[in-house]
Amino acid sequence: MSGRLRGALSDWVRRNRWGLVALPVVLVLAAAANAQRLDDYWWDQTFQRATATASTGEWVRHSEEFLDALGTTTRTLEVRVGEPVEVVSFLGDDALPVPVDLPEGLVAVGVPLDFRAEPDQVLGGCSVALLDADGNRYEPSDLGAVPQPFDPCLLDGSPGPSYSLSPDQPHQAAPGAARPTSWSTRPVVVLPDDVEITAVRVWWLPPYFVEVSLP
Amino acid sequence: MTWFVRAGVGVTVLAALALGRVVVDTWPSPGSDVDPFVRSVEVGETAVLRFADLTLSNVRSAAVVDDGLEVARTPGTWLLVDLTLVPRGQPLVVSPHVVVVDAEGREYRPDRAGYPWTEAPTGVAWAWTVAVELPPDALEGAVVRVAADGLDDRRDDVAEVDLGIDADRAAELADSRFTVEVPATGPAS
Repeated sequence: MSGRLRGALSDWVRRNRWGLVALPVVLVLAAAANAQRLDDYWWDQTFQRATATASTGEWVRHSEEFLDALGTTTRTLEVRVGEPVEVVSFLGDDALPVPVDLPEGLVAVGVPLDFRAEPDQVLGGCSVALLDADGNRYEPSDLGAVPQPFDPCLLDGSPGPSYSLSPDQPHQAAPGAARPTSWSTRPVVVLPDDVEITAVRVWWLPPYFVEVSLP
Repeated sequence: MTWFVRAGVGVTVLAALALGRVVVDTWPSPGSDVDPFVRSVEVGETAVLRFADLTLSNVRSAAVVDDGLEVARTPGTWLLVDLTLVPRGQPLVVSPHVVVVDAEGREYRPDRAGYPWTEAPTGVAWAWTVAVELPPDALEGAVVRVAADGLDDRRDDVAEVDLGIDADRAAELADSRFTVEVPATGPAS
């Protein structure tokens, strides 16, 4: 490089030094200003924050915040996931076993869930899924007509308090629907019989979830 | 730099921006960063989509369709397509959106009520017969498009199935006098 060119270059750098200092900062700010979707659609809407991980048979504590007409409330519960087992029959109305009728290649799998929570906790609207190694989610299904609770984490007759729809409606169970301090459910998932299940996930609203890995 | 040169540079930059705008408006780019990813297949081929593997196995027509709840006639033609969907990743809770697009770009949708959809479990082949009422002149060259969400298919996979209907086949389909039963959605046998 000739001395003259070098001189011109250092001249240019000197004249633009503050611009050069500001450039990386401005680039970071510009990217951050457009990153709200990362927060809205990815960080908040997908499963990003496990509140607990465990193995089958272990109690874990799950706590998260939810929003309803009374504002933000925290719910806390303990859950224990048992080993999923294939369901081949269930007790019919006449107390006789009814075989599960599914198309070939499909199996019904029951997921034993035990819960412990204070009766004042609002626990409606949970979801349960079996996961395979690729992260596919297999969720409870009516296929096969195996009786199962409407809400996979609650007993149909005693769901406990429901969400508040107006500011003057407290979190209160409907008459006769009070929830015991511990209870068990068994949602039923229908999936292809060649799927290898590696984990069970329980959640209310993403991004929070409980994940239990299978042995 | 003199003020004259600076002003000249400014005017040149503005002129270039304006020219760029005129070029973009006059010759719009056919692709856009929000376009869906169209997976084109033929009858019998499987389209691998983000939300499911989709196969359109059969094209039929009818004068009357019967879904077990309602018997519906048409002065045109009922075009029936048999679809199999294998949901990927998570269950298909909501019915995918099906539309028939004819050679002129006109769109025909399943009847106003749509078809009852029962949640399709992940990984389970789900049979779904969709009937669309259309005028006979829409048959030739028609394609079926399937999207996860009919209102918002931006940057999402969309299957486009060429029904392979030529003039002869269109005449044959339009001539149907059959009553066809549309089965409920459920596991493919």
